[in-house]
Amino acid sequence: MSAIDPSVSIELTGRARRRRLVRKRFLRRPFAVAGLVVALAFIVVAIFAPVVAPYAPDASDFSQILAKPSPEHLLGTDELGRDVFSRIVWGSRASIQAGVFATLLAMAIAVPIGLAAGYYRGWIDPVIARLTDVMLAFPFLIIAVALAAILGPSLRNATIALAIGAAPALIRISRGEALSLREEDYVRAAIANGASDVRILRRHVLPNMLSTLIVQATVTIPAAIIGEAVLSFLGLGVQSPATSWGVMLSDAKDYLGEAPRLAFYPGMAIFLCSLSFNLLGDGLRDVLDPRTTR
Amino acid sequence: MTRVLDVEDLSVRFETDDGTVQAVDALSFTLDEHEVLAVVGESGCGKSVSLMSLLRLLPPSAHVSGRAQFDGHDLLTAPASRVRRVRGREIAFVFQEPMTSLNPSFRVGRQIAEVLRRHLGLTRRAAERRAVELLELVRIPAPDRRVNEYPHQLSGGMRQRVMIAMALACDPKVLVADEPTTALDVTIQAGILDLMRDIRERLGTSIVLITHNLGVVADIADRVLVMYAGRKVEEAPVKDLFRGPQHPYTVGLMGAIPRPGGADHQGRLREIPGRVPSLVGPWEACAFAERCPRADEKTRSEVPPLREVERGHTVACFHPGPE
Repeated sequence: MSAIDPSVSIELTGRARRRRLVRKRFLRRPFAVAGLVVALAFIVVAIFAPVVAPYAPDASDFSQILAKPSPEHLLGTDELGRDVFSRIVWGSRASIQAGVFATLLAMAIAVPIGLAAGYYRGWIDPVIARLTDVMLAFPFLIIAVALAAILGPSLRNATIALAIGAAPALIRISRGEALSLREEDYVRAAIANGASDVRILRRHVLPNMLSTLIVQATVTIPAAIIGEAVLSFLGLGVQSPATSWGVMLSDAKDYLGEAPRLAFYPGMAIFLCSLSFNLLGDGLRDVLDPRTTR
Repeated sequence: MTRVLDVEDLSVRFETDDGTVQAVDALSFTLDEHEVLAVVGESGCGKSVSLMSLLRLLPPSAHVSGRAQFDGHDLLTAPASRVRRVRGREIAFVFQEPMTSLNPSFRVGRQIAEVLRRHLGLTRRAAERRAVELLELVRIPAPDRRVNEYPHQLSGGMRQRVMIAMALACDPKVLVADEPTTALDVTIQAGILDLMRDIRERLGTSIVLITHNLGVVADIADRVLVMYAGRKVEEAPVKDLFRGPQHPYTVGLMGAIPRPGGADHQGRLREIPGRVPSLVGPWEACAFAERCPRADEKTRSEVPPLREVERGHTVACFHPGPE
């Protein structure tokens, strides 16, 4: 790499230069890099679950009930003789799906509302702000549990419930960003240049709040992953025999005395997966915040 | 000379918790093609507010009344969509803060191009090419490289040039420059003023220059409008004003210009005593009376009307005259 060749760096455009700077600062943070690698690994595993998993998630082998870890069954088998490793691999699909889609859906709901409240002010702002406060007064999981109970148990409904549960915090954040960005001189200059409201929101407000949103997304994803596990554990999410880490935990609770590893492995998966996204988020926050200089 | 802008009886009120603030009071002025009009006065005297009100750039708490004829329409009563087409396309603003008036997330070329695409419907390609030409016009060296840079990579003077380039993008009839040089150091100020003069010569753009710097005024303006506490107190061609300022406030401003020989015998600049009055409530006397050495009973009980002392030179004072 000719990173020190000055003639090359001069030719780089500003965007490429900034990207390179961000990458350099990111790579200097081992925890963030580890978070990225592990999170990516989970995503890859979820996508290629049929290839990665040696067995089908619901394939029972009644000769191998509650078997200890062995070369055939890397993490042993459960009370119905199903391969635990395969179930964890397949279970990552539910977790990642819930985590990523619930976050995306929450963004899709929250960002336009937050932008409208923060940018237009008027009567809409206090109404939305107070409603958000009311929603935030309830713990995230309580809202999600209540909604999932109303919508009926399934992964899709659990995802929707988690998205709605996560939306208020995102509304508050995007409203706050819009509120401060609308006072920027370049927004004033854009208005004086004849830009319409939609254009100002799209070109001037949204792009400048993107880094905040990205960071918030990486915080919301692990929360939704844990939320999915909780809902499935309570029977409000993925239903047996389909698998998710929450379902596995729920099944394992009856065998805690005989085979505590059945609870340990999915618990570990939840822990590692949410931790990796959290570390990634922390790293991104440091790197994308223009005030950090290192 | 074609008249470009004709503002009559412009008033701007703000309803605040402390009562009504009369930021601009019955201001009338005109702007001809190819003309540089300087609007001078202390901070808070209504210079920026009066110009911004024309394009409805003020917050909703501002109540604007009067007439502002531009291109056959009254800007103050025209529909919002029409005003938006005038903004940036026919009347363009350059603001005081070059450091923060550009969006940090986009390359400057793209920001200039955006104005062109919106108002003139150019393609992205054509707009980007024109952006390079515009940067060249405002004398930014290596414009083809600079278009691809982000605002934080440019100095303050450069950014102000970019702002001017953006304002000139659609070849507007009027350029309103709101203290364009205040945030810049002196050598760069001179460059920017030079540029504005050049633009007027080459493109025939009319310029309204809002400033509190009379040195700048003498340098570039054709006509000067002096404002005090939201009112016009004096208006004259620049030569007449500097030769014979009539209003005691203008006289005071002239005395406060630092220049060799301009100071009095102690080598001190003369200041205008007192402060700008608060703008709450309607005037029943000359707004300058409190600070005026010529004030008398009449000044304190009546608002002086605008009178013409010589051709094109009006003043609102009961006791006009230099010194």
